[in-house]
Amino acid sequence: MAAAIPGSQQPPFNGASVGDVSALHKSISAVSGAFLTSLLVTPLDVVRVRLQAQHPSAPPPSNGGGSGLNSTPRLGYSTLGGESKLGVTTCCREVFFTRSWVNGPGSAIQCQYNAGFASPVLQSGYCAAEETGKRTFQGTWEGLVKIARYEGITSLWRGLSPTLYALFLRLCLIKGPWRCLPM
Amino acid sequence: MAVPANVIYFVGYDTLRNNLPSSIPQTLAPLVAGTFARTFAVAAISPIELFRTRLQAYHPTTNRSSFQSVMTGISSLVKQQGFRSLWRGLDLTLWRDVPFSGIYWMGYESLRHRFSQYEVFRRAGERGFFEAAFLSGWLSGTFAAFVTQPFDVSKTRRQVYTGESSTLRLMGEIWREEGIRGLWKGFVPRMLKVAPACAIMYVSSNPP
Repeated sequence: MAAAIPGSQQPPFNGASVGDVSALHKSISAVSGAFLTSLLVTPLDVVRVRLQAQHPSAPPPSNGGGSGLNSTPRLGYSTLGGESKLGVTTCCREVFFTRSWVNGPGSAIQCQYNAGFASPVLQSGYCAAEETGKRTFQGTWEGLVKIARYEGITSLWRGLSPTLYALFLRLCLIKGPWRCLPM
Repeated sequence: MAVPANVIYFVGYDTLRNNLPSSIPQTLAPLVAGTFARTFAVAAISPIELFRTRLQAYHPTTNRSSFQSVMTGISSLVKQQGFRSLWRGLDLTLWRDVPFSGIYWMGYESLRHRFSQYEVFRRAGERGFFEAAFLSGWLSGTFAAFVTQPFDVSKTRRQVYTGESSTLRLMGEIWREEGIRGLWKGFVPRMLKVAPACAIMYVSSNPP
C-alpha cells in the first residue's frame, strides 16, 4: 500500500488509500505550481508596477505644494527619481563646471534648477539627468535591464514574500482551508 | 470592509458551492461560488496587496531599506486617512480581477472546446490535449488582460500615490497626461506573465 504510485494503473488493494494519495499529490502539485509561477513571474510584476507608477507629471504649480493634484507622489521618501522628465535634461556638471578651491578642482558645485517647483539641489558629482535616467524606463526589457544593473538583481524579485503570503491565503480561502494544508 | 477573520476562514469555495440557494442553476453554481469566494479572498488580502504594490514601485533614493520606507509611507497614510485606507484600491482591484476571471474562463472553455475538434490537436493525443489547453489559455488570458488593463494602471496609481479622486477622474487624468496609451501602460509585462502561468497551471493541475 505504501508502494502505490499515484496515477498508476495498478489495481488498488485498498481503494480509499490510493485515492487519498493521488488527491494529496494533486493538491501538493497545484499549490507548488502556483508558488513556482509567482517565483518566475515576479520580475515582470516589478517592471509593470514601476512602469505604471512613473509619473510623467507636468511640474506641480509653483506654490510649491502640488497638494491639489490627484496623484501627487508622496511616498515617504524622496521623489527625486520618481519623475521621468523633470525638465532636467542637462547634467549639472556640464552647465556649471567651475574650478573652485572650496570644493576641489573641477567639481560642479551646487546647481539649482529653479523650474518653478521643488528644486533638486545637487552636490558635486551627482547628476540629476543621469540619476533620473537610471531609474526610469519606457519598455519591458529596458526596465528589466536597468533594475538589475542599477539596483541589484535581487531587486527584480522585490515583493516576492508578500506575493507568496497573499497566494497562500488566497488558495486557502478559495479552495477551502483543508485543501491548502495537505496533511 | 474588515471582514472578521473567522468568517473568511470558513467561507471556502466548496462550502459556498454546496450551500447555494437552489434557485441558482447547477451549471452556474461554480461560477457564482467562485466569484463570491474570490471576492472575499481579494478583499481580505487587499492590505497585503497595497504593501506589495508600494514595495514594487519603490526605488531606492536613500539608505533606508525599502521595507522601512514603505512601512513609513503606509503608517502615515493610515494616520492621515484612517484604518480604512489599508484597503485603498480594493474597488479597482475587483474591477480588474472579476472581469478578468470571467472573460478568461469563458474564453478558455469555448476555445478549448473549439480546438479539441481540430484534427491536428486530436491526433497528437496527450500532447495535443496540452497544446490545445495551453493555446486557449494563452489567447484567452491575453485578451482578458488587455480588456482589464486600464483598471490595473489605475489601481497602481491609486495605491502608490495619495490623493483623493474618483476612479473616473483618475482615469481621465491618466488619459489627459499620457494619452490613451497611458491607460494600457504595463500591458506587455502583464501579457508576458500569461504564457508561463498557463503552462505551469496546466501541468500542476494535471500532474504526470
